[in-house]
Amino acid sequence: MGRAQASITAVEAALGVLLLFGVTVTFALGTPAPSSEQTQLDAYARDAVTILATDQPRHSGATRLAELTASFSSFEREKGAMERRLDRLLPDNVMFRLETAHGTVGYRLPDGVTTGVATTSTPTGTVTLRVWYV
Amino acid sequence: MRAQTSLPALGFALLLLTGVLVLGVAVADGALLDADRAALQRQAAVDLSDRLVAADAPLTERANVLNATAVAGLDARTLRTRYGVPAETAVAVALDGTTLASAGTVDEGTTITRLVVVEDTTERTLTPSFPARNRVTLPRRTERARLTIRPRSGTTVTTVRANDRVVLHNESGLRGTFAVTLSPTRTTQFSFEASALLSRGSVDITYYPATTEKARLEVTVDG
Repeated sequence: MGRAQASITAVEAALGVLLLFGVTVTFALGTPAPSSEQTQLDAYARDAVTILATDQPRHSGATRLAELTASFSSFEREKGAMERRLDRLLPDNVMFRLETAHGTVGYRLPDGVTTGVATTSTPTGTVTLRVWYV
Repeated sequence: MRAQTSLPALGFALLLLTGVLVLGVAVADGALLDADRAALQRQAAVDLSDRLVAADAPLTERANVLNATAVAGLDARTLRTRYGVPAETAVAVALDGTTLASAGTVDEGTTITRLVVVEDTTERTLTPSFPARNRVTLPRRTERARLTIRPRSGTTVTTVRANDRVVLHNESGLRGTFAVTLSPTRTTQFSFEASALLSRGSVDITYYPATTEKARLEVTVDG
């Protein structure tokens, strides 16, 4: 009889310990790990767009980005140069995709990756840059 | 009798639970504090880097375009006074891995990398040969230029225009070295009004085009 009583207390204590331990683990693992990836990628996208927006034009447009958005033919002409420029500008472990009304420059955006986004407007249209880690 | 036998067990159980509870609270507190600190550090790093590359910042020409001379002048005192880095926080600012300035000792901290362009001006001289007209276009944009005008005897240069704007004029003839201010946002074409077609060597134009180089600005905040 005495054994049964003692074991119930032990079981209760064990359950209590387990419960508290669970709560502890939740705190230790469950606090949202601050996603520095998102912040960094957003900074990369914003910086790249800012730099491109003030880049001197290669032809007669206002800026390099404006030339890209001006028309389909100028987009086709500037596409390659813009891809090389972005490739050099962004760190090696970052992929990019630049979206304009006339088409996109860069790589295909994979599913489920954290992306940094920045948008800017030019006199001839809007440009959106998405960047993500390889 | 039954209650008495379970008393030591109860005491032990309570002790164990209290111990685990204290441990749990300590761990939870530590985890929350860590999360807070990392987030605050990151925010501080982002804020500082934003202020360093802002369009109207002391270091920049335009947004994200750093002036090479200004960047070389950045030091710990500037970081503390102008950028308001608190005394208990350690920060380091590096350009392409080379530390520009650091205040305090940075052990780990949080780093944010910004993409920037470092702009420096070089000096170039152009000696136009004027094959058909007294006109020359500078190959690069510049915000100022120095013109040395020494026409052959018998030839007088009365007016110099930059993109149809009169920058120099003297009815009795221009001779010597003149500094002119130009628009950095347009390509400049100089046209010279002279009594005859100018020969090569009559005019030297020294201009200061900006050369840019991409770089990474790394801002690390610790504490």
